[in-house]
Amino acid sequence: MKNKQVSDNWERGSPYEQYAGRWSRRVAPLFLSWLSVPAGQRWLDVGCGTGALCAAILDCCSPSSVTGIEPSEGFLKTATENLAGRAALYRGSATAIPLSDSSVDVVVSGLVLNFVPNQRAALAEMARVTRKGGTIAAYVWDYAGKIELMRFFWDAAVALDPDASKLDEGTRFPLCRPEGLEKLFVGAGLEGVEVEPIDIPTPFANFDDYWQPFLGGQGPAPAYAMSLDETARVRLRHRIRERLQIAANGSISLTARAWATRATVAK
Amino acid sequence: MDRRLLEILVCPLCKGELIYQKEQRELVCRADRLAYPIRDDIPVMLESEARRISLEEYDALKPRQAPLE
Repeated sequence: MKNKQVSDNWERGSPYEQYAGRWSRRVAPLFLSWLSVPAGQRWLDVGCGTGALCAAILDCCSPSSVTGIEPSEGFLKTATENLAGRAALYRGSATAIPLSDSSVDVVVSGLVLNFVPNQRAALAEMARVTRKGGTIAAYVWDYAGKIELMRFFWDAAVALDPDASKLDEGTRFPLCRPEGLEKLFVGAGLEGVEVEPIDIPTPFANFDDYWQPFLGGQGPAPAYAMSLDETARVRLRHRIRERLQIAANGSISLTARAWATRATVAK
Repeated sequence: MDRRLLEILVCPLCKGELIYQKEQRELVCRADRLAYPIRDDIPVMLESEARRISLEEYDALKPRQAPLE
């Protein structure tokens, strides 16, 4: 099999929307409602991507300001269009945040931490820019467990090709488990660390609606699907289809879980 | 650039103050001798994208004045 390199490249816009963006967007309001931060706060979104979480903060939390930082130029361009001047956006890294100490009240990061190479450095930076007593919170997909649309894919892929397990996010991302998140936040010296699951339904109208986004090539699973030759890809498709519970009307009801963490910066 | 935003924006490396060079569309860190470009109104606060400034440019820079009372 050729070209089986890991692809965590989220640069381009639309295939990502079909594969993950449409579900990611649904987590943000649930996460914010769990945080229940009072109005009038200064927010920072680390790894703001295309601006989905920033938009939810603006819509749900009556912030006094929203700042987003994001290393990807492509994502930030989309975020600029989506947010139309309602948030201050900078290109920047989670491990070198370009904001002064104690300059915000709440720092959030949605579905990002698994992609940050040095997570401890990122948490230290998040704590530095947050005022004493402020909130730091994040959520990550439960790659190892209940993100069923990916689980069905990787379980089938690994059954047919054991080497595929090296690409499975559930294997590669240690931070997708609640223990990993808690350890990271406690290790950063934060107080009152809490971890909570957030489940969202990911309904598909039919098998094609489920399968098509995997052909977009963007993200590890789609990149793997497109690295296969046609015969192997058809075999994988059949294997997944066999395992999925498909309702009489053709629809498929799956669930995706994210783990959310929140903590307070020590006074 | 919004002045209020400039006040919390710092050099990502040393966390020191930045000097806004309006004509060059850059934010300059004197301590690190780096100029961060502003592209399409978005400050690019990444070391890898910053320009090292020459000694002449450095000498011409004045540290940002303290805000008036």
